[in-house]
Parts: sequence; structure tokens; C-alpha cells
Amino acid sequence: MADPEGKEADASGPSEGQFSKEAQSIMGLLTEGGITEYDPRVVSMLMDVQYAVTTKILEMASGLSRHAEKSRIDSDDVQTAADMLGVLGSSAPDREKMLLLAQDKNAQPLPAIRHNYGLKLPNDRFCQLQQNLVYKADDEYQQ
Amino acid sequence: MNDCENPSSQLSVTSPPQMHPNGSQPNGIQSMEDAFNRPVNPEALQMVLSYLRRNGLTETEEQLQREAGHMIKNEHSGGLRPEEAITLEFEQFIEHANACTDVVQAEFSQLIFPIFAHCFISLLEKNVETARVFFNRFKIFIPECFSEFLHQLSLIEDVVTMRSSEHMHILRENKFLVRLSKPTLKHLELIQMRVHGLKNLIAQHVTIENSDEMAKNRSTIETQMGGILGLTSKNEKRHKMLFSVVKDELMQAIDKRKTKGKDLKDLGKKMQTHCPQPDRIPLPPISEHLREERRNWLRDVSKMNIISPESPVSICMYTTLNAPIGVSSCVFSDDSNLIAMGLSDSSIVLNSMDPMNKMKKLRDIDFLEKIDIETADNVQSQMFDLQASTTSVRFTGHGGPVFSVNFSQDRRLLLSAGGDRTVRLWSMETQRNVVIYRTPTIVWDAQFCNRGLYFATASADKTAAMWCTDRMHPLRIFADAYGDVGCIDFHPNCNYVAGGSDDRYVRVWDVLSGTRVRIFGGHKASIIAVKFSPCGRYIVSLDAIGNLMVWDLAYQRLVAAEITEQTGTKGSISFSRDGGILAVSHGTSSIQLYSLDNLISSVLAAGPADAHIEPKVNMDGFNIGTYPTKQTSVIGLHFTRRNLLLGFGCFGQ
Repeated sequence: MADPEGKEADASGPSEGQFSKEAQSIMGLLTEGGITEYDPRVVSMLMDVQYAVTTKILEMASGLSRHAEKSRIDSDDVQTAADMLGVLGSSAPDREKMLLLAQDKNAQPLPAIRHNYGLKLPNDRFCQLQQNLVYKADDEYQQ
Repeated sequence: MNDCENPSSQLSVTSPPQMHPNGSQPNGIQSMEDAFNRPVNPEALQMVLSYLRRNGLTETEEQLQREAGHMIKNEHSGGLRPEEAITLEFEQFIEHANACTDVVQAEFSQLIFPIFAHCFISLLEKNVETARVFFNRFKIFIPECFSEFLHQLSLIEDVVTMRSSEHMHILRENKFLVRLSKPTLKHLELIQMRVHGLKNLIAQHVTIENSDEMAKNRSTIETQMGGILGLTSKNEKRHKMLFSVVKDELMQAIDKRKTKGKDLKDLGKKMQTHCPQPDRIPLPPISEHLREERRNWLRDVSKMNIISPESPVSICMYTTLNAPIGVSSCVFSDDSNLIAMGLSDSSIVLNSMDPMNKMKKLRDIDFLEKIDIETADNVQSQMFDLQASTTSVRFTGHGGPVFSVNFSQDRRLLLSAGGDRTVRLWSMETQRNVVIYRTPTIVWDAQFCNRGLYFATASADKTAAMWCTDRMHPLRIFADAYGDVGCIDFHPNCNYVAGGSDDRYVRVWDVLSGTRVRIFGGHKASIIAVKFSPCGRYIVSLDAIGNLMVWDLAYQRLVAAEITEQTGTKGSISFSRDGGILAVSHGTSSIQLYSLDNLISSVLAAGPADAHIEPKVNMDGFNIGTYPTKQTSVIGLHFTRRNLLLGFGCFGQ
């Protein structure tokens, strides 16, 4: 990880030659996404994220391929690992499932209104009606 | 193959020049005989087809093509590989489309994007290199409104990336809808004769609808393009929509003031048929608070300013300065007394505009219990801690930026939607968070209905939902959208909810059954604001590149489109109290005013109401004013009860 640290020290006007290949690829990603102004530390942060996520996926993929008794990790393993970890795909449920769920929900009639007084709020245990507690630092302890 | 046998044997005998170059006459006969014994030979089929075509036996040709089409498709372009065939066919298609007349060309351009996308997909599956080349070569022909989708397509490298792209899923699983008139259909058939591969593609992925009338000019067609799945079908089930609002005393007073006592046209009876019954959905009874609000409003009606060229609108602009992170949303209460601002640092700041009427906080429960209701003469003032009332209160509790704030009609509750995937209900009297409703993804917008109790949310998991304040789970889920639902609005009669989403459609759902009663396509970018008119008949929607569109709910059509060049992300639409003027801001530094009355009167003047009317694009007299600010991006708009326009913005954001 020597390269990212070297770049971190370089906060002023960077030139292309000072960056490692990974940093350059991340900057390419940013420009492709349309982002032109960014703090230079963002690049090293993104690189950290990239390393962490890739390691996690590859570890899981190697576990999967070992379980399937394959000699090498192949793209299916990586894809399954990515799906399991929730990366690289949307976490929202399928549209079909959502539509079925909505159909079920919408078939129930709207509930009748209870004509009791006051604001119509859920049962007391679902409301945030308890006292607010504020942490008070104990000065003696600090001394 | 029985009906083809005779022509093919004749072919081999009578027309040696037409034969495939590789076969000379004796070989031809031999290959014919072999063909009878072996499975279908593409070369023979080719010969048969060209013979049939030459002799005008179109029906036979079509049947043969249909049955043995898969073999012919590859060979048709003279032995090219499938990838190159697709490229060639697409090029022919484009050439043909460009050669047509103006309006026909506009209708053809609807087809260009879906065909391009599906050709690209099939090329990706065969050969990635060719796909890249194809993409770069033909991307200039795609109409402007699809440029965002084009960018998404350009990010796809190969089949694996394609699997994870949502847009691809949508395109592959659903058919793209296109509406063509008769002349265009004829042109299309002409070209389909020559490009069979494309013909199959169209049959598979595109639904073509006949439109009865020929559009008069190019811009009409262009106003309707842009949806992620093309146009909205004309044959959509025509749901009866009850869009009218009961005119109570207040509304009648407003109308009277507006027409200044002139005779109102008797639309009363007609409107009643479109009005929902009061008990169609369970609504809370009009509480005393609400009644009081309405009475206050009634008192102000006489002083209401009717906006016209003689008395133009006055705008009062409130600007925040030095907000460190930034204000992400704001709302004014109905009587314009309170402003709530949702900040990006997750707090909500409330300000009281009227120094006389500061915000009172209910006292603690111990004190309240001591008040003797029977004997104390001024319970109200004892309940509230008047000494400590302030003009500004800050609510903390959200975990992420607050994307929308909304007061309930009686000003006792505040609803806020945040990036921490919760919707929170705050009580104004006790000035604390009362309920937290948790949702799976971030909520972009939450709005109360004007009778209280129900609220609707628009969230990033492509659904809109309707809740009531006393349940922790939504009552209705509207899951139709293909993209995040960015904005939502309740109909004035509380029976319908409209949502605009990132897939460029505006949808209206019925609260009672959850069905989608209207869908409107034509925006060219994600929709950032949507609003029902106070009369309930029109929806105004705004998108991220500045197009404003007015939709008529009664006839399910586009009434007007206003194309401005303002790009923005935080749109706000506000109607004047009499419903005739609307103020629009894009999140940029200007406010625009439009006259809905002018639009309606010009539409009525154009002809009988149910004839097919072309939508008016950039109509004169629709835009009645643009008011720029200096470096202040306008976030919220509100008409007071006297029709003074209040604007809210952030300096330098």
C-alpha cells in the first residue's frame, strides 16, 4: 500500500506521472462517471474500498469453488459470491415479486377510521413517546 | 415444402442465370434432388425465395420465410457473418428512415432506439468487438431524448456486465411501444422486406400500434418520445377516474372572487359525475382544527389578489445564508406562518414567520396533570409554556439528509422523509419525534393528504406507498414503476396519488384498489416534481432537463409542453389559490410563472373538448413571467392565501 500513501502526501496540483496504475484507473472511473472536481483523498478512499470489496468477494468465491471441487475460481463463482454479498447488483427485490406483494396488499380494504379523540397515532409502544434521555458528561471523572 | 417443389424444379430448368454462383446447372438439379432427401438447404431456400419474389408470389414467400426463416437470415446478406449482417441491415434501415419526409421520419425515429438497443444486445452475445464498433458508429443517429440510456448502454462491456445492468433487463423483458400512422407503416413494411433480421427483432421486441390520425408536425411526436419503454398505449384500459373535487363554501367563494361576480358557466352538474362519494375511502371527519383553518382562509379570500396582467404577481423571497451543509427541502405551512427546512445534516429547522405567533411548546406531563380543567379559566395558555416560545426550533433525529418535509393541514404534525430510510412524524405541540416509519430504501418524498391521516411516500425501490399515521406498515403499495419514484402528490379529493419516476412516466394510482388509472409518457428525463391542480383535473409535471408538461386527466392526454433549457434536480410546483396560475422552479436561480387559465381557454377555443387535439408546445401566453434570482437556487414555492408568492432559496448552493 505504499503507492496510495505516497499519493496522499501529494495534496497539491497532481500530475499524471506520480500516480500508480490503480490510482489512475480510479481517476478514469471518476471521469467516466462525470465527476471532475474531487478531493484527492477520495481516490485513495475509493482504492481502499476497492481492495476490501474485491478481497471479500474473492475469498467467498474461492470458498465456493472449493466446495464445488473445482480446481480454479471461475466467473460463475465470482458472480455467485457477488450476488450473495449484495454487491454489484441492486438490493431491491424483483419487480415481479414486488408486483405480487403489492397485489396482495392492495386487495385488503382500507381500514375503517377509529373515532376516538386526539391525533391518530399507532399503538403507544410503537411511538417514540418515552422520555428523551440526554447523556450528561460527569465532570469529576474527567478531572 | 410441397408448394415449393414445383417452382424449384422449374427454377433449375428454366433459369440458369439466377442460380447461386456456386452451382452450375447439373449441380443445381442434383442439389435439388438432394434437398428433397436431406434437411432444408439454405442455398436452395435462397434460390426459392428469390424466385418467388421475382414472380410476385409474396404470400408464399412470407410463409416460407416464416417457416425456414432462421436459416435464411444468416445467408440473406450474401454469406456474411451474423454480426456483419446486423450492421448492414441497421445501416440500410437508417438510410431508409432518413430518406422519408419530415413527419414520417419523426415517427420512424421512435423505432431507432429500440432497434439499436436490441441489435447491440444481440451483437454483444455474438462478438464484443463488432458490438463496440456498431455502437460507436451508429450512436449519433439516436434521438436526443435517449442520450441518458445511451450512456448506460455504453458502459456495458460484455455479456457479464449486461446481466447486472437493470436497464438491459427492462429492455429485454418488456416490449417497447411505438405508435405509427398508416404512411409510416407502409414505409416500415417496405423496408422490412429487405431487412429480415430487423423484422424479426421488431416482431419480438417492439409493439407497434396504429394511430388513427396523422400527426401534423414533428414537434408533436417529439413531445411524446422519451419513455423508457416508449409511448403509453392508446389501448390502455380506460379506467374511470373521479377527478373532481367537491366545491365547498370556500372554493365557491374563491371562484366568485375570481370571476368578480360575472356569470359562472354552469359546470356544476357535469362536474358532479366525476366526483367520488364522500365515503368511497374512509376519511377522517373534518376536525375542528380543519374547520377553523378553512374559516381563516375564507376570511382572507376577499383580500386575495387575482393575478392578471393588470395586477402581476408579487414574490417574496426568503434566502438562507451560511447553511453549512445545505438545505435539501422546505415547505411552508398552509397559512404561511411556519417554514420547515430539511437540512442535509439531518436536522429540521422550523421558523415562525409571525413574531406575534411564536411556536409554543406543550409543558411537561407533570405540569399538565396539575391543571384543573374544570376551574382554570384559561386552559389553553396554561397548557403551553408561553415564556419559552421561540421563533426557531430544531428537530434532530434523522440519520441522513432530509429530502422532504410536509405539514399536515391542521399544522399539528410534520412529516419528514429522509435518506436514512425512515419517514418520521413530528408533533408540533410537543416538538418531538412521535413515530418512525421504516422503509427498505431511501424515501424521496412524503406528502400528507389534505384531510389528514393518510400520507403517501415515494421511495428509491421503485415503489410508491400509501400509509396512514396509525399503522406502521403501508396500506397500499404501487409497484409499477421501472425506476425510482422521485416525487409524489395526493389528489385534492384524497382518492388518487400521482407519482413521477426516473423511468420518465407519470402514473396516477387509485387509493381504493391500488390500480394504476393513468400513465403519461413523454418526459425526456427523470421527473423531479409532480402536482395536481386544485380543480383536480390536470397534472403538471417537471423533469430534470426543464420540460414542463400539463396532462389532462379527463381525456388522458397531453395538453401542453413547455420546453425550457433549465436543468435542475430539485423541482417545485405551486398553484395559486384560485388554481389559475402556477409557479415553477427547477432548483436553479429563477422562478417561472405560467397561466393555466390561458391554456385551458385556448384549448377550449380550439374545438370541442373530446376531439383529438394536438398538444401545445411552447404556447404563447402560457409563460407569463420569469423572475431570476442572483445565485440563489430556489428550492420551494408557496402561494399564500392572498396569492402572494413566497419563494425559498439557498444562497450559493
